[in-house]
Amino acid sequence: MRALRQTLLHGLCGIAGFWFVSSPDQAAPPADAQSSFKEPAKPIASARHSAPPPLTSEAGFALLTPEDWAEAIYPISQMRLYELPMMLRGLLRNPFPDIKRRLLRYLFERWAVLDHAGALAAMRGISSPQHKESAMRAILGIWTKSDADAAWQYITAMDDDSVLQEAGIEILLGLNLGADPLRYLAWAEKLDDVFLREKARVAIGDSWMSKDPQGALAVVMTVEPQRLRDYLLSKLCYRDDVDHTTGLAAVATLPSQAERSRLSEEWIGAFGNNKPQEAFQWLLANADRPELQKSADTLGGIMTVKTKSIADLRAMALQLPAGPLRDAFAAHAADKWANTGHPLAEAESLLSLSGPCIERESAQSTIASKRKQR
Amino acid sequence: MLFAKLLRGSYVLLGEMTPCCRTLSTTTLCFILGAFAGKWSSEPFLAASVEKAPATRAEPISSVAPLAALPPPFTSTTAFMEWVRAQMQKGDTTAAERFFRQGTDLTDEQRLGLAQQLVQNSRRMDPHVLARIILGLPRGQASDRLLWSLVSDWSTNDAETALLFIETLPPDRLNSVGVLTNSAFGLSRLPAERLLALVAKLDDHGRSYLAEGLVGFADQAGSWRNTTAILAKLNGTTPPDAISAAYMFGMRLAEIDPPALENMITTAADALTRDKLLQGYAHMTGRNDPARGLELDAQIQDPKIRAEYIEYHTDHWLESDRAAALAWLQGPAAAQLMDREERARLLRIYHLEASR
Repeated sequence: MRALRQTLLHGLCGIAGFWFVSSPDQAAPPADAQSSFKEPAKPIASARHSAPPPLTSEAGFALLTPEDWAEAIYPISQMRLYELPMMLRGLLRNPFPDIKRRLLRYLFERWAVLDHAGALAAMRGISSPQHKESAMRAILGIWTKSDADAAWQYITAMDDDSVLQEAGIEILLGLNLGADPLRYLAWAEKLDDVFLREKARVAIGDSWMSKDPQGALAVVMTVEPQRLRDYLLSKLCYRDDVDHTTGLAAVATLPSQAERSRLSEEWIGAFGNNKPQEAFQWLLANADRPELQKSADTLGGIMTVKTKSIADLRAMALQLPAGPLRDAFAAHAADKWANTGHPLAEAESLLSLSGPCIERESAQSTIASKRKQR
Repeated sequence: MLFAKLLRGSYVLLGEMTPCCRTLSTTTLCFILGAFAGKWSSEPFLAASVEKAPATRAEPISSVAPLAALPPPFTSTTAFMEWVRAQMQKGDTTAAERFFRQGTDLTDEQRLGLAQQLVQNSRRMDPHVLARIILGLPRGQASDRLLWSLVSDWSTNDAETALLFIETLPPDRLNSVGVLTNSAFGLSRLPAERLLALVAKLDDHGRSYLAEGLVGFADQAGSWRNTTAILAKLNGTTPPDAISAAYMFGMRLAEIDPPALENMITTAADALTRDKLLQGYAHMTGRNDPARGLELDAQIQDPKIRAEYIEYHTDHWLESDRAAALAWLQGPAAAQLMDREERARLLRIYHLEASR
């Protein structure tokens, strides 16, 4: 009995010793955890084992694949500060750029919550510009919720990395606009660097369109500078829930025929892909406007895909009044009909509805080339 | 012996101890042995945790090399992609490459078709693996396109590792418009000094292609401050088949800041640079406003380019505003600017005659 007691006692002591050093809770974070990821690398093969490492370890992060990367999202959200530098080192060794981009966001969001200054320092230590940008996007997302002004000051004072600074400006313009989309426009228009100014305008326009496309469309014709107005007019047509007839009506008020032609084509293209029959009816109702020639051409191409019957296409072309709009519609439709494997005789019958013009010349050339191939 | 010393402060043999002291000593020994065992068993995690930042030249990682499955015989592209996906789910990230290496019975067309499928799914692939597969394909237009697509995506997502790969390309593939212009969007984000290390390996064509790409993305990527620092070292003779950076600059500024561009054209000291800026300005302006574009075309000094642009913008005008374009074609400005036969050909299409 005594021998058994002694054996049990010694066994328990051994287990206690084992537990004492192997429990993760007892493993103290390395003192240089926050900065050590910048140091030179050791070959990864030296730390590999036949059994896969735990998913949420440095080695595990380096081996995440497109199949299992999402399993790391939740563990990251629970990580303690001292673990983050190790995970960052592992993640940066992962060979999949897409996994790095996605997980850097979660990792730096967590880092920014736990230690804002440390997150910024770690982000600056990343050498890849795109990964640095992903990390900064995550940090700024958290930072702007508590102190947007400080975030702006940090970015505008960043003089040692113009690429990161410009990325930061674009991110902030995208995040901060809120209820007043033009709040930063005056600031942007004072920028000396024309290319940065353009980036800022685009970021402001994109943010505005994504948050309030209807509101942007309602006031687009009064937007200054004209460059931003034109940008909005050329992109708003692709936003969901935007009323295309309202947009086309706005475009029709532009002073220059060249602008009306170019932007109408953009809008009718988006309208036609979304609601082809309504777009065609709109074109019919406006067929007296010569600047819609290119729009008719574009819609002819779209209708070839949306309308499966040659008879329907011919009927549509015939509804348009004879002249540039019908010519452009029929010629492009015939060109595309021939190009998509339909009988060439059908394409020719459609083309016969077009009068002489360079669009018809082009379609005839396509049909002749297809005839040689078949 | 040492253990006994720790306990008692002097060397004492275990057999000479009291039972109580002996039990205390042996249990402590067990605790320490357990601790050693625990330490040893956790070694892999700790060893991994002290690895440092990524290697400068990243190597692909085969996570399950010892367990790698043998590729099945090729039956179809779909079956191949399914097998690759299944292997990826097991953590085998180099399965596709192994398939190419071991599939000696694959035809060139089959290899190309499989590589195209992999490039289409490039987000789910290790770019190093893709690169080795593409470079192993027979040279040709199709495989070159795959390479251009790879470097474009790779440099957009991770310019640093993409550049390490680009630098290893042989000169005939490196100094190509497909590699350098396509990757410029991503590479423009790298520090100027890093990109200049690449520039040192390029010939005149390569430098022109890179400059063209960098300027072409000036308002979308990197920063103009960084790009100008690179361009300052890219000066050189532009080969005849390369698009000059001045032309691209004219294209970009034509939309963004026409007054600044006009001022630049007026004050340009070098006639060739002036003409290239003007060509970029005319080309872009004429796409949005053919009438204005034709006015600018008329000022281009290079007669071949001038004729090309006038024809291009006239066609574009006829397609967007036929009545205005025909009125111009019949007028004296067209008679003076255009090639006589080309003008007559266009007018004949519309059953019209030239006015002079």
